[in-house]
Amino acid sequence: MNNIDPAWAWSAFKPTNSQPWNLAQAAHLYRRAGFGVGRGELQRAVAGGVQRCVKQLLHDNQEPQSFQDEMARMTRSIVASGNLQSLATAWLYRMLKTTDQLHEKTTLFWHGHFATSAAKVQDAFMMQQQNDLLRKHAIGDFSEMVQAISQNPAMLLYLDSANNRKTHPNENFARELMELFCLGEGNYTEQDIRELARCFTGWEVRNRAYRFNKYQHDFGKKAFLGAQGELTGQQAVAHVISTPAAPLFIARKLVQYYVMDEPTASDELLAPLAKRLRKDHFQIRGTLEMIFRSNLFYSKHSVARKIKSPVEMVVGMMRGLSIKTDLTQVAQRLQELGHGIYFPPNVKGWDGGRTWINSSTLLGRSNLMHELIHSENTTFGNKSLQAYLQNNRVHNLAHAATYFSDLFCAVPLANNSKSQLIASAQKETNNTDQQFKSLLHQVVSIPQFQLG
Amino acid sequence: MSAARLFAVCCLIIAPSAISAQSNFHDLLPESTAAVLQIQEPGEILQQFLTHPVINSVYDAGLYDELIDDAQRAQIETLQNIIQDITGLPWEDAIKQASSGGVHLAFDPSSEGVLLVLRGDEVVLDKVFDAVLSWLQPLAALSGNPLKKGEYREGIIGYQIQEIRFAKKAGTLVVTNSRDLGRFVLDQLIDPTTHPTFASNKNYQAATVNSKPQQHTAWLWADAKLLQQNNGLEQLEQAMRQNMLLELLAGGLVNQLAKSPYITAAIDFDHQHLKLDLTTAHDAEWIPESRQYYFGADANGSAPSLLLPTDTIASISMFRDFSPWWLLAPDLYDDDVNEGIAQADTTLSQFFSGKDFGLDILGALEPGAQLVVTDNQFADDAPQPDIIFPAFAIVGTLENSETMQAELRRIFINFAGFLNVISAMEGNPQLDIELVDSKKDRIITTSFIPPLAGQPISVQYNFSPTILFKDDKLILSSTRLLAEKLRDGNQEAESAKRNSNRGNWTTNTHLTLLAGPLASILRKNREILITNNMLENSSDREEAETQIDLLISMVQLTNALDITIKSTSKQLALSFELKFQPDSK
Repeated sequence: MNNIDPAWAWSAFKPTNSQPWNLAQAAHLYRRAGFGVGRGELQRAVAGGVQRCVKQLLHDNQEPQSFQDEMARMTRSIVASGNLQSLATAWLYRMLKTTDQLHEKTTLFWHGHFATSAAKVQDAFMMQQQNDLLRKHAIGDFSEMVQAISQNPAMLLYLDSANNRKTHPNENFARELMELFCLGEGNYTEQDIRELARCFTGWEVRNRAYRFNKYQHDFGKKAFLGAQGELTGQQAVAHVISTPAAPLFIARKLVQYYVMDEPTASDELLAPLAKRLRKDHFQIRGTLEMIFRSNLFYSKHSVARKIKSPVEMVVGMMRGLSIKTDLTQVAQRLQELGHGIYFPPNVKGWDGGRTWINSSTLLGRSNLMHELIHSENTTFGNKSLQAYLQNNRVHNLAHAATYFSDLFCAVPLANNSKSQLIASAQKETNNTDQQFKSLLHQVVSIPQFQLG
Repeated sequence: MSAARLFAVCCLIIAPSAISAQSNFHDLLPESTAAVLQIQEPGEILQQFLTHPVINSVYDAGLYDELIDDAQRAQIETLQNIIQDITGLPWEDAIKQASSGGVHLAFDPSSEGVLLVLRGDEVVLDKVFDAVLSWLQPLAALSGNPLKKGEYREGIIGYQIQEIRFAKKAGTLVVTNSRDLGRFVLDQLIDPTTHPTFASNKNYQAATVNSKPQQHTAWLWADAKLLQQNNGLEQLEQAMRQNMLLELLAGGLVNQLAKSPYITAAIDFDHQHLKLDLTTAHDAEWIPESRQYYFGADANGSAPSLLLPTDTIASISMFRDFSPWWLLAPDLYDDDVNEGIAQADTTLSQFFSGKDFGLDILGALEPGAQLVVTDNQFADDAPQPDIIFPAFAIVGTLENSETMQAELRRIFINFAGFLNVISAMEGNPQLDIELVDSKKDRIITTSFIPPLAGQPISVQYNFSPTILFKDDKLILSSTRLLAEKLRDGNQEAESAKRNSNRGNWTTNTHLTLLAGPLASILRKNREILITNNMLENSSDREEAETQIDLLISMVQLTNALDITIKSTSKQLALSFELKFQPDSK
């Protein structure tokens, strides 16, 4: 990874005969920049070309106002019920139905970045308020997002900062602001934490809202990360973001999320991205555009170099085959697999990458997919799987194996693998629809499917 | 194939029997028969069913299409066309005439046989039979179970598909799964004097004295041993021992079922209502001491009047003597339930200043309880939550009103204070308490302090817990408005309209559900219902709206559901009556 030429890496990808823009590349883009799409949309993406496809993802797919209103009504109902699990289900619903996949995928990224668990906050109103905040700024201004999250009631409660007194500054938020949100380890000292924490004294939560208590604020001079003065909390946040380590840190996390789990990108490779972030005043959209148009993104360094999270795995399959099912059950199973949205495991969020896979979770993934595929509540485009595939001109198991591979596998299935899976499906049952389901379950259980 | 075959069998059942007008149905059955079901006019029922507004709504909503796939629908339509072609009548009329003599079902445990006998116009029955045969034969052959044919006695032709056997003799069609049972019936048709029959069954004769089969759409008699000997009662008893509410609602029925020699069920159906009356024999001697709380010491306890304030969704009134029920709980429930009761007893006794909860507190209530659930109403300036819960209230009568009023008032105020402490710890809204004393009554009511601007209105704002004393009446309500309605309303008059104390019957329990207010509260919660539907089915909003609106419209097609338990000195009846909207004919 350290040998990659940054200039080549971030130059715009231009399809060639040896590396064409095809179904596999389009599926790769949709898996990373979103969750996945059906065959028809993939074919349209190929026909339109890579530049147009990226433009659509970044600029043209905004959710219609009517859909946003529907989602607002849905979340309002759930907040009224106070049911935290239903909030997670509603977000899953949005991931499935949204036209703006990139926006939702990036909101999920920030949810892991600014990890806040409903298990501790225990308040649907505040959790949804934070989710709305993340969505509002997801591909917008990172600086504004950090300022907003710093005063977000759910975040302050989660980091025990609801009461932050000048006589006993709470260092949790100051530490996480630098370590997890903006700079990363090694870019600050313990003294910086103590000084920064003083800036946030008097920041409180009352009646589910942020409150500044001037009597508890330390108005004295502070000194951290090279800054000095009677800094307020807002000024402190702005200064942290202005340090050179911030754009590099955010660029690294974006590359890890959208391009490859491993190895960790070098500073040299990330430098052009960090420069773009700084130039854009931390507007995220431009950096994402640079990533999705890049040679690196469509190269062997990126394709099949990520492991799907459970949410990516499930939503990707559901979107790919227009699946409808009981989402409350799916959300519950995702939580059991360690990817309970609204319930990140700790302040660091989900580690991702190889940590998604072990012998237990691999079995759990397969079981979840089996339940989903075979559930009585599940339909494929409101039909049986057999009827759905027939509508897509897939009439036999061999054709179906290719169809599933094109949609879901970063590394295409080899012919002998397909033959084995088909034979196994035929052996399992004589019912044609059940054979298609069996084949689908086998495809989504093999290692190739787990790669994003 | 299975649905089509079932339909075919139903059609065959409906076909008529002119032949043996001289022989009663029970004369055809063996002495060992344990259950019979008689349907007097199946054609009329079919007509009522097909033209019923609820069924039409189901059809219009496309639910019928979800139940039956295209292939099954095609088979049914083919059969209908064949019947029409062969009989020259619309298929509904053909079936009506073919079954004009009634349909009868029976179960004979000695042969493990189920029998269906259908009687009607001989000519039409023959044609319908031929139509069904011509439809069934190719289907049976295709399924690998071809129709077999053979001659029995005196020219009677018998047919068989797998274990189903059927034969026809002069206007009577016989269908059964038992060869022996089928032969018995055919023998009786040929020579009615051959064997002793079910007609001599004393319990059956006794049941028909009190309930006339011919007065009902359908009428069932069953030997209670069927229930008593097949673990049915044991399972019911076990469920009661583990569930306090189930015991309270239906515990009294178990002993009667265990002792009664028979059970009857009378069903009435038309566009106005669907009614089911289940009846057993009843005897005060059968009631053990542990269940005297259910019927009273004289086995004749009468439920108080049913409360029906405006916007009532559900109301239940029942005779129950709670003090002996609580004190005899060890005889009624399993150990784990009794452990919970013992803990609750200690806690509640402490709550009531050391008074014995079972003896002193429940003992201060006269037998009987009334519970009412209504649509929830809000004042214009009151905070209204997004999710509306129904209001509910319990009404009882105090034996020692003056003493108990003071005690309960103090407990209620303590409880509100306790809730405020808990709410403060969890950041929930606080209750304000108000005491209103007048010559007529005494009210202690609470209300949640309105939320600050911008804060969500939580579900707690559905409640304004209130306790109201009027004379010897105690009203404990989830809202002040409902408590005042119950104080002011003319309950007796309203209740009298629905009173089921008729003749020498005494009503023990009466539950009523009213569709109008139920639809109203469903409409108020339409948004959360739509949300749940979207999440549970991944459906689009439009689909979810359609389904929820259909649910509400289906509720609106009905008027009310009444469930009653009533008794005489000889009989005990459990009745269900679903009333449809009168204007939905």
